[in-house]
Amino acid sequence: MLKCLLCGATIESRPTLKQLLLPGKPPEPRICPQCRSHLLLRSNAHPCPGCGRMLAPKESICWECRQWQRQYGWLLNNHSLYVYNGLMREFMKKFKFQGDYGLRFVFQETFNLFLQEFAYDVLVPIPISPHTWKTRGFNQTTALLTLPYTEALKTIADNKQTQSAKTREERLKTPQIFELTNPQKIAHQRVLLVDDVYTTGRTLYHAAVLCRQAGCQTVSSATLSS
Amino acid sequence: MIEDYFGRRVLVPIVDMPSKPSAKIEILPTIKIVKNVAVCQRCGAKSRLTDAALPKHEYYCPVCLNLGRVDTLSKFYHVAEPNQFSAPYPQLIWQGKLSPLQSEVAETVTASMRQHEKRLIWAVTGAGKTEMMFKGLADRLQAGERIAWASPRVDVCLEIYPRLNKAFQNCKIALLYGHAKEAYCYRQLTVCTTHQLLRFYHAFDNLIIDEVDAFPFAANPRLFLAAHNAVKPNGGMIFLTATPGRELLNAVSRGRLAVSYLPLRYHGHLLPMPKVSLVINWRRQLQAGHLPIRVKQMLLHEVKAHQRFLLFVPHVKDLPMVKTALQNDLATSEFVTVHASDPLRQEKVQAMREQKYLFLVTTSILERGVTFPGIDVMILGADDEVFSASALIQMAGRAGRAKERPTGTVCFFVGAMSQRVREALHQIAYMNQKGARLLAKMPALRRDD
Repeated sequence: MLKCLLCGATIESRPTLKQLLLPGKPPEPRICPQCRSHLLLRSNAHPCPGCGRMLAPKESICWECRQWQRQYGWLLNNHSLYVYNGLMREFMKKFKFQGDYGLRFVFQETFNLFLQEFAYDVLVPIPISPHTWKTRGFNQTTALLTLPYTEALKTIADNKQTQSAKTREERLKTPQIFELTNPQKIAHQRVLLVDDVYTTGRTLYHAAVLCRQAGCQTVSSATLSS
Repeated sequence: MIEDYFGRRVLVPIVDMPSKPSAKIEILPTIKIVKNVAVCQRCGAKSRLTDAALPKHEYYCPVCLNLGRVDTLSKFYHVAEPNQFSAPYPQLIWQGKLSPLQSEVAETVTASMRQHEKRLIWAVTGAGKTEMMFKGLADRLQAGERIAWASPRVDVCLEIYPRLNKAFQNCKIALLYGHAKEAYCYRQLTVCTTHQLLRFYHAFDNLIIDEVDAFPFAANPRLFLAAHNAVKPNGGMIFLTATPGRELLNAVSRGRLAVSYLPLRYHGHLLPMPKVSLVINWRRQLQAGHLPIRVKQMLLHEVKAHQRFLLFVPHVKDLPMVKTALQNDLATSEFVTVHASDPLRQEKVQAMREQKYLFLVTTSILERGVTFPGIDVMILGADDEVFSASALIQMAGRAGRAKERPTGTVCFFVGAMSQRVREALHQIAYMNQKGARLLAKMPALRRDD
């Protein structure tokens, strides 16, 4: 009996004849219909060129990304698979903060299919700090990946305070937290940065700055939710 | 604070440990790898290595995550329980009176707790179990022992906590449960859910487990292990229940567990014996918008007599159907449906208590711990597999609890006879047989005053 990885309810699966006979099954998150109904795909209609969130009808860029444009002169072109809503928050709580590594299977399949749609040469996941490695024991972003990736970044200061524990103001003021470990691997490449959640964009912009310094051809980003 | 480690196992990440922890603190392992299984040292769950693996050859327990992750990246801090409580010890100020039968059991409990025995108190629903424990509890608290009162149900804990607070003087009680707002503190008496016992290790001299048959304790062997780990190796355990499961009964019959029976309610009357009524295909009739004829007759009779009752149904999804059928067939609106995640659950139950409704239609959430005086109990689909034998007995036990109306009608409407229904009937009959024998010997036990 299959159990929903999020709420623990039993999933009644009655495959149709078509599903039984034809090869390949449609990829679906391993969660019950009840939980799935709370899952919201980010729509592609009128996205912000920076963060990928939906814009109001007359806007051409969101307020947040305008700040980034002013600061850096370029935009990240982020894409996210899901909307960060109550269900996603609950998932992240269990996955990241409770440390239920088994939950990586919930979105692994759908997320990797999503990533395959992008034109890129190297996949660069956002790293976690050594302290997180010694407490959480896994990188929540690489845990979601089955595609090959390149670890081109690492964290510098082992600041114990994680991004998610800060307020918006504090997040935006955080100085550079990464450094390059393998600049040659991303030079002249199309880099796709991957992270679990896009919130203010602070983390991803830090990473993108370094990638551009290393001389990559283009840099964009993809996250599970935003 | 070193007190936080007394009799507990507290997870500390290895990376955060000071290079020289205090010499008083024992450092215990969290996970043992045996061949290709990871054995959690807290909950005892055995997981395949593939399920328990983290990257970099580290492992975690995927089973007891809710209480903080047990993994090879951390260790347990533990300090052997020193019973560091200072006088004055808590004193019993409860003034109530016990029936002769209750005081007999209370004496046995006291003796049992003194000798740190393991004992089952099998008392019918509405026997007054809590009050019977007070004497033994007071005696042991005076002796400086550390004691826990645990229950699988949060609502039972929340109900017992103020009662104990009232019954004892200068007694500070720790109350621990999943979403508790207060942090842990070291106290002589602890009230907690059975899940919280997983955090303790050789802490208690005596452990009382209330409603031991309730979910999830009964269905979860790890919690049983947790309970055994939480008491000191020579500690005692008292199991309180109206409906012992097979494992407890087996332990009794093998002589591993002492037992005390209390087959009579505090008012000295026998339990109402459920009537079983066959209603084939009741769900299909409900879908057509009508109650099965036998149910309809029974309920009409109750409504006419203005008899208050509870109508139990197996699933939340049955509630709307039953509601329509009731409105069609009974032409009454003096009822309301309620289920576990109903936002108005507390209000509706309270309204029933205040006699604003004639009856409640509900799922098994009201199976235990609630008392509406003088009600009858109807269970539609009693043979459904969501109703265990113990749940059926508990639901039937809602009837006839008041001194003013010590009897009542209990009716099981079944689509087909099931083993669970049979077992429930058997257990009720068994306790009634014992009770009848007692009454024959000592008619004074029945208090009709």
